[in-house]
Amino acid sequence: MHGDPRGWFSQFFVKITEPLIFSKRPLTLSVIALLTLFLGFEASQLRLDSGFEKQLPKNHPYIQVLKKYQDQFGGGNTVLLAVSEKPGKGDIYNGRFMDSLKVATDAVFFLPGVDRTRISSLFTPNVRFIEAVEGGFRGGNVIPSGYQPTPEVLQQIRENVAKANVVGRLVSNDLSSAMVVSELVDQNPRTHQKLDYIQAAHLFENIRGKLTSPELFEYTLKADDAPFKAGAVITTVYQDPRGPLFSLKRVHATLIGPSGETVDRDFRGSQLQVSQRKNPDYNPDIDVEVIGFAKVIGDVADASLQVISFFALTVFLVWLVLSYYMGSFVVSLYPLSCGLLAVVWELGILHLAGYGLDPFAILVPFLVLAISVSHGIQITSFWLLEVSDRGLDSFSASRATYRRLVIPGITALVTNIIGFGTILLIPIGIVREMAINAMFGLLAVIVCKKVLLPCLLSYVKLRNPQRFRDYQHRRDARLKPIWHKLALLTRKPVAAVVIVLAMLAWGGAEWISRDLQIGELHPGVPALRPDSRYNLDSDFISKNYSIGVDILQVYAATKSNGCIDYDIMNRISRFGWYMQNTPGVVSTTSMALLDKVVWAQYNESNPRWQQLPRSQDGLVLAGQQFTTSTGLLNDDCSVMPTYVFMKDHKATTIDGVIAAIDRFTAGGKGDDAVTFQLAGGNVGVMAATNAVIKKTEFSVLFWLYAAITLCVFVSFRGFTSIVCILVPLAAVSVFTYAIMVFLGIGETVATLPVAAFAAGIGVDYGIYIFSVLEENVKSKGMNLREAYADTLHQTGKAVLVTGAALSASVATWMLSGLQFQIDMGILLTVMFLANAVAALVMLPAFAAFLMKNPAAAVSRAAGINATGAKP
Amino acid sequence: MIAKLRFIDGGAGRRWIAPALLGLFAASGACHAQGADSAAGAAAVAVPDSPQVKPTAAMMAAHAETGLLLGIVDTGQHLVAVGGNGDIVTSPDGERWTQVQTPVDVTLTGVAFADEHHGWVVGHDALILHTADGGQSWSVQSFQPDLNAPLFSVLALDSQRALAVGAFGTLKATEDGGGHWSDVDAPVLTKDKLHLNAITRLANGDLFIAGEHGLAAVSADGRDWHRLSPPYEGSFFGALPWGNRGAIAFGLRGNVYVSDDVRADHWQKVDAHTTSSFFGGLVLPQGEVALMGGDGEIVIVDGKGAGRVVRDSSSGQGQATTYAAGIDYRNALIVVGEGGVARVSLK
Repeated sequence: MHGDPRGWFSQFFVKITEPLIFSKRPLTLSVIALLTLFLGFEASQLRLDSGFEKQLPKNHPYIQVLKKYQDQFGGGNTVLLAVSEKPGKGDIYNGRFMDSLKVATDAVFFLPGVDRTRISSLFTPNVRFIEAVEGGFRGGNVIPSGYQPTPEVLQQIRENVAKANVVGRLVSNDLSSAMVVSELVDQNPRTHQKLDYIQAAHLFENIRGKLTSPELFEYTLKADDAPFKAGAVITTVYQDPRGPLFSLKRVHATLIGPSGETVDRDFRGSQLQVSQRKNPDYNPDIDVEVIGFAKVIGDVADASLQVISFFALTVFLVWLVLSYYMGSFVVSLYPLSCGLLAVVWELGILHLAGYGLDPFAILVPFLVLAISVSHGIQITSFWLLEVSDRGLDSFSASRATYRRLVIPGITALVTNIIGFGTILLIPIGIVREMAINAMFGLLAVIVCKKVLLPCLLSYVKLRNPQRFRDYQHRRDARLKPIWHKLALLTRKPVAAVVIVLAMLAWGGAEWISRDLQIGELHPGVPALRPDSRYNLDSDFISKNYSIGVDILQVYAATKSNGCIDYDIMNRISRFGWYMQNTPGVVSTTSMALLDKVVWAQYNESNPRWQQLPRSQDGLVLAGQQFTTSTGLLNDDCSVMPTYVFMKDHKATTIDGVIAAIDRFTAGGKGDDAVTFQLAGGNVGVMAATNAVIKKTEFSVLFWLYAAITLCVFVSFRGFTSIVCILVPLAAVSVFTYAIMVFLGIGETVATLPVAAFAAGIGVDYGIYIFSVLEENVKSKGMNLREAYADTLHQTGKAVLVTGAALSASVATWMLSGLQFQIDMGILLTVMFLANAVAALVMLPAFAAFLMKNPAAAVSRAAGINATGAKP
Repeated sequence: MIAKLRFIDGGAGRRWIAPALLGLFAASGACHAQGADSAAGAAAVAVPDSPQVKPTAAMMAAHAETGLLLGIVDTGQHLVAVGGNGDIVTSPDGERWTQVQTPVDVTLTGVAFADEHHGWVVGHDALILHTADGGQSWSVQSFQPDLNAPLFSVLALDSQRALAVGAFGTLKATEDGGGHWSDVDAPVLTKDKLHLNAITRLANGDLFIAGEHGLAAVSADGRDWHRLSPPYEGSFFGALPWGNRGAIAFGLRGNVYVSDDVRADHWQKVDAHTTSSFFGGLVLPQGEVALMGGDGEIVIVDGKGAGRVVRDSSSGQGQATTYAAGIDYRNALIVVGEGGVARVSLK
């Protein structure tokens, strides 16, 4: 047995590095300061990066199909803005509502980035009613020209709306809400700039304010700013923008210059005068709902930025925890500032490596802070012990700390790095980036904590060492009875009970966690909270209009001009009818299905003509309406998607629908003229993501535990260490699954890495406790109970405080507006605390049975029979 | 996280209506005639594949009663409804529906039973299906995709004799229970290739056909037809017996005409208070007639020829639907149409 954790390599490493760091401390500090300056500069260059491509599991066949076809179909960029009468205020046919709808239509029309030819609302001329009349068709605008809100005209609009077949699409099913549908162009035709989704989202938000805010705030120029004169109106907003920082704010505006040219200009808040007025467009009876891809991006980006503001709160909480523990608001600043430095380094390295900061990556700095604080506590705690118990001076205490902790610390960090590395197995760009980012962070932690912190601590001058020592002693004295009681866990009967209880709990959790679902469980956009404005709007629109938000696209691929071949179109039509009859499907649409409807419309709207024409001429006639921008066919009519609108996007629903599709396609022969290829739409992406998670879940966890086992084995060279450290870790991860079932959290791209993060960090507790315990037993020859009590005295409070600090640093995520950050926050908080408790309670219980005290073994063996004493 | 991607394709998926309707309007007035012409022309072009196009069996669907249904009858034993995708569904009570196997997947447009056991269904591709077991099993008696002429209505006189009418002046009859269906030689009906949309039997036993361009024709025996002067120039989509010798014909844009004696060739317009087209109707017990059609409208015409709306486009929740046929069953109307089966109380 290899009893001493400090093997020859460790001693060699310490012998080389200790003088390197401590002999020329000013030099060490200067090097670190220079590096910090450089990386800080790099970090300041980081930009928010919402690359949504990265969220796709790009090697999955569904995603490859999606990428192959998605450019062939127009329009994914629709924004729906609904103007709705508040409940109980009646239907839309009143003058006031029509005025508001007109204001909304005009406002959308004038937004930059909106394709003005493709806006539709009751007020746009492209929305017409059409009726079959004797000898042909007759039609007109839904809202008659020269509109006046008289009862007669409103009644006429009511009739035209029914004829125009827009109920469910532009008017809600209960006639209390109407929609302005617009499409954004990807590239600004004037400036050729890519569409700024976030800005577009904010502009739509402004339209909401225009209709629902009683007040408006107008920005006017205080002084001339060529070509604009003082007093020129720059822009109008509907939320009071004034605040202490307003003069620093930049306001972007698109204005018409004196000679009619369009000018994009940023103004400083200090240039602008804000005046508050009554909003003439305010209508107290209405609500406005906005949904669309651009709005999602805008809302997610806003929520991501909001999380950054929690960082300050996190730092404050961690500082409080540290200060309580150290009994000094000043000494605690050392580990805290080292943690912050590690974050700066991490962000700097991230930018150096060419990455941006996305909503996932924003969480990593919190984790890095947490990890570095957890190590900082160990180091500071040991240093305090040296100072207060042994009375060493700061410098000697620092060196002692370094000698004692550098190896276990680096071991723990390397274990972390390997643990995070296993997340790389998930083939989704954003997750891999998060893993790489976290690994950069850990490298930063190694330097900042293991080198910088002891170095800094060596300069600490305790003004009143005696008082400081007293505080430590008082607190230790308070904790001593608790440690003493906890040490009872090392007695075999107690240990047996603990182990049995733990195993029972484990079994129970395992049983509950069979219900753990893969994928997103909540309705709406999963990135945002279920009660976020966006998801409420989305829920309202999908309930009141016949518009689905959970869509699976299945691409029917065939020969070119497939849409004029009856057999092909009939097969697609059969597929649509088949899907329509599949549980979980609300409705379907495809070119083949719509051809039938159009064919009937050609024939006096007689429903008895709803049949695919068998002749090519008939199919040409029926299909000629559909341009590629409808998303129903590609240029040469060789790919025609079927849109499957689903009731929700739960994994069970998706699996059922996909299985049904597989049965349908398996029914066809291999040489079919049509192949049905999966998948597009948000549900298609979710199906692919769920499949990837399902497939990689096992391998991530397997390699995670294999890597941790290896690291633990290399450090301690024993089976005992593996059981004592890994069993509590594994138990906690199963408990977490059970908690996920209770809280309705699914296993997603966000929550799978949590397991790796939590286990990777949670293993630290075990490593620290075990290393001290083993040393006490093997080298110092204490009996187990005494050894554990002493271990707790040395590290136990550090473990508890670490748990608290780690939890504090991730608990703030629960305030986030992003649902996946909330989920990660809950799970990590629980796991950080649970890992600490499990390590304190379960580790000694296993040690009671597995850890042999050589001295005790000798004496017991001698006492019984004096035979075969083992060395 | 991922799901936000492209979710708005929902918009794209539904956007068809606007362009479709715009396109329709651009094609404008001549459109209808053009549609008919080109379909007629296509008959000459013939189906590109081999002339031996085999019908494909209908798919068994979990909820066939929610799809397009165009005809419904009460055989006395149970209800039988037919419609899109070759679907035939039966129900013992108007509530629970079961799909039965059919050998075709084209749209079925009409159904008629001679008695509890013998019945016919007609549909696209000049399709005629026959049952001798009350609608449990169906066999193909006619299937001619090359004709490009859908049949729209069938009338069963008895278990041996039946007539079917359809597009482009198609008029078929059988005398032997469907062993042979022959084209009726009636140039007065067929020569101008107008759509024959419905056939019915009047109270006095005369047969009556209504169709495109106000077409109305009467016959005592089904062979010798007399063309009546059209009451108006638009299409009739259906006709029902009215009084002893009369008929009520209904069609495009709320046009309803009644005649107390069709052979007298005098028609009177009924004010139906709607501009929605009527695609189906039935005679109610007290001699009233219920008509149903576009936008989910249902209008009752009383014995004096006065119409009243009992259900209009604003009555329903959700998108306007089109009704195609209905029956009076257990104190309510059971209507079928684009949205499948619906029960409408007349109370």
